[in-house]
Amino acid sequence: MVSSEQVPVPNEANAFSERFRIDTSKPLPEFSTPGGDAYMVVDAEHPDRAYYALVHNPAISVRNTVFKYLSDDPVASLICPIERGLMNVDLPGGLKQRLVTIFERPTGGALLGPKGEVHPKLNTGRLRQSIALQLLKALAGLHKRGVYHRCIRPTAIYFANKEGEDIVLGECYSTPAGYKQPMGLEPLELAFAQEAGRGQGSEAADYYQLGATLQCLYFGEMLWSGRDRDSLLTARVNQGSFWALSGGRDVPGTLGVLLRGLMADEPEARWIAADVIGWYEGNTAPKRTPMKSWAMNRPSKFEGTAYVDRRLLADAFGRNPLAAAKFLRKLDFPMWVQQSLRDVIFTEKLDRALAVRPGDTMGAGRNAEFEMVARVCMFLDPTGPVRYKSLSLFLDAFPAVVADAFARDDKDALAALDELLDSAFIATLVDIAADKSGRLHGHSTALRKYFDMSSSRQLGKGMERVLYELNSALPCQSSRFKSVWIGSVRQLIMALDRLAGAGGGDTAMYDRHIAAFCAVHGLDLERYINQMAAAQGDPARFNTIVAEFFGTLQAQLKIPSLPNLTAKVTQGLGAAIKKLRSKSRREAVEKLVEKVKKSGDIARLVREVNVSRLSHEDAAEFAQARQAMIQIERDRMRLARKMTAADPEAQQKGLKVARLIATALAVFGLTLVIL
Amino acid sequence: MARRGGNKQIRMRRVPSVGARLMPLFLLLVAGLAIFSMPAATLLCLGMIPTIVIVYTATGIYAGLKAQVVGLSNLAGVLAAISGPSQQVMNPPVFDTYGLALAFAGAALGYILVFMGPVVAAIVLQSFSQERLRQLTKQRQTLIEQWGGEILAGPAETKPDHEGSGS
Repeated sequence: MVSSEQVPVPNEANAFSERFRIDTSKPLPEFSTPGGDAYMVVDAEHPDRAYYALVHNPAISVRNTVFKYLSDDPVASLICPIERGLMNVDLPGGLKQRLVTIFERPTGGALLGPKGEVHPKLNTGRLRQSIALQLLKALAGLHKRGVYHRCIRPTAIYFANKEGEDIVLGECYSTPAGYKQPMGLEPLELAFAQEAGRGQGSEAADYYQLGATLQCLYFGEMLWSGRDRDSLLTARVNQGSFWALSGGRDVPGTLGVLLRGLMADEPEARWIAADVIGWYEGNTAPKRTPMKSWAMNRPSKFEGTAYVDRRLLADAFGRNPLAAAKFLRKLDFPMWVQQSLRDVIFTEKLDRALAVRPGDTMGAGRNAEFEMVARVCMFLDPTGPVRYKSLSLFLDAFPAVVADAFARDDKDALAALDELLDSAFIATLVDIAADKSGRLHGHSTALRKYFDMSSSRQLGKGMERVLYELNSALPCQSSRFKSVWIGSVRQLIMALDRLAGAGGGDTAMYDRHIAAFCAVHGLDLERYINQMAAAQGDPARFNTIVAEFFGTLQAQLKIPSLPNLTAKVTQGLGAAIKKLRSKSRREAVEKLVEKVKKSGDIARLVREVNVSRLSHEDAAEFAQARQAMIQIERDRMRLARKMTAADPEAQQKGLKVARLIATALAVFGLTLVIL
Repeated sequence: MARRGGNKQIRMRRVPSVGARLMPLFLLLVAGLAIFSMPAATLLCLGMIPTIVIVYTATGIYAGLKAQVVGLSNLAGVLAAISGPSQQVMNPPVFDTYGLALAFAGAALGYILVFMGPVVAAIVLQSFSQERLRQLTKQRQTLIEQWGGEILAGPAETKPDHEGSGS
């Protein structure tokens, strides 16, 4: 992208007026998250108060509902957002307009630093006596508001002040739930999914994270760090998460009881708030829950490894789908199911749904192998994520996974996501998992309306549209807006005006991101987007629709003047006006356009110079003029030749006049006879 | 086969010629006149010979019109002869050279009219065409100025834009 296509940063964008001043020379890495970088901030009104500013990453969607709940009604022992707004921030890449959220800054320091350094005031007694209870209070407060934290990490818990009495839990609004949380800190039921694909989770997921975090704080280590994903996952399945994460080290005493309760791998067996309070009061009755059996009756050897656990086998299949397809095609699948999974009733319906057929794959569809593996994975691990090609996600994490794929410009992942949005495929997965995971059905229903639009190549549709439909808080991801934050159609139109002023923006409306963003965030703009899509091959018509589009937007948003965009639009209309065949009409329109151009009012331009209607009239009148011209040419040809006495017309007319004379003579003769 | 027969019948129907249509009328007129004046009827018979000739010999799409012109002129000459002094003395018409000359002069005038009518008409029409041509050239120029040279080229692009105008 050439630099002239980059929207310049606006001059006046500072939502906090002069109150907050961000000092980007003082980064605060302990408060940074995947959703943004934290910096020191000075409050001009209350210089004694400690704040930090989180400069958001435009590729990651924030949790708007969490902001609303927490800014209106803050939760104790949790870092809650105070204010947010757009601001020009001097970042390493230059001045950029970014969404900035101001948080109150705990000054006591992180319990476990970003590099794993343990806070000197952290000890087992404090962990057991106050920290666990304060974290529990923070979680209870969040859950009461219907919000799950899902980002609890030992590095994101801080002493509120230098005294080190109170602690606060890090914020949970700057990233989607569970986004890029280390796998060891995610409960086992969600840990099989990719980093962005773990979904909203539940209260139980928060309590697991609390337990794992306390365990890390107890040992003073980032227990997940340096651990291989597959071996840690296998250890968690085989030994339980508590033992796997601690590396076989026990936590003695009552704290160990608490951690084992919180880190139970079965969500039903996991401790929740009431159990933790009971633990504080000395009532530690263990939860008795029926244990699910994930073990197979006999191990299956795949890629040199013998698997006994269904979830691990599904994970191995999902991570190597082509080898899995080959493996499955070689099996007598119904026999394998009967021998390996004796508790499964392998019905004909299930056999048809799984459709694993032995033999080669000649004639099968392009993705048939991947789809077959995805079906088998869902059969083996019905409560687990959907595993398709490189993806491994829960369907409620679809928004975050799409945003992540766009942020990484991962075309393979986007293509796989598009293929996943197939009604028949999803319905089969739901059928296979239905008896054990009803939530898959609910999430697939929510995605139903995107099934048709995802694969469309039309402007304003495709995966870009799915991205903005699912992530309403995400700013426009167009490469033109790298330096600015476009969170609304108003901001977009103002940015395009600046871009036009800088000499760019000629092809802005051909940008798939801009079109999709407008279709989602604009009011009744989809009609124009569809018309633009239909007119892509006709620049004159396309520019006419673009003018109408901007005119409607300017009127809707009551923006008084868009001088640069008006000039650009009129320039675009030039082609359509030049196509007007009537010279007088063309000259009149050009004169009018020049007059309106100075006002910067596209709405007026469209109102007074309706090029669509004029083109329509012009075409109709031109057709009439052509007919008239054809008639004139025909008459001219006829009249141009020399008239002779032999000409039929001369003959006819001459003889008729002669007959008139002869008749007069005959009448005269008759009169003589009578007289 | 029935259709062929039908077509044949249609082909065999002939439009009666001008002579065939007028001859019974002419004979009726001669017979009627003979009751009152035999010489006048004789003069009519002999004097109208040029007309009878053209009725049966004229060809082309304007044959009827030519026959009418000659016939009416011829009739004017015969009527002038009938109204002349020779009728009053009841001379045998075969010797009435004055009457016959008058009748044939009428026919000759008719032939002149047949020949000269189209010539004069061509001259008059030619002058009218020049004026009309000037008007058309002016209209053509106006259209070219308004719509450009495109109006002269190729087939007319009459497809109007049917997409909604938007506002």
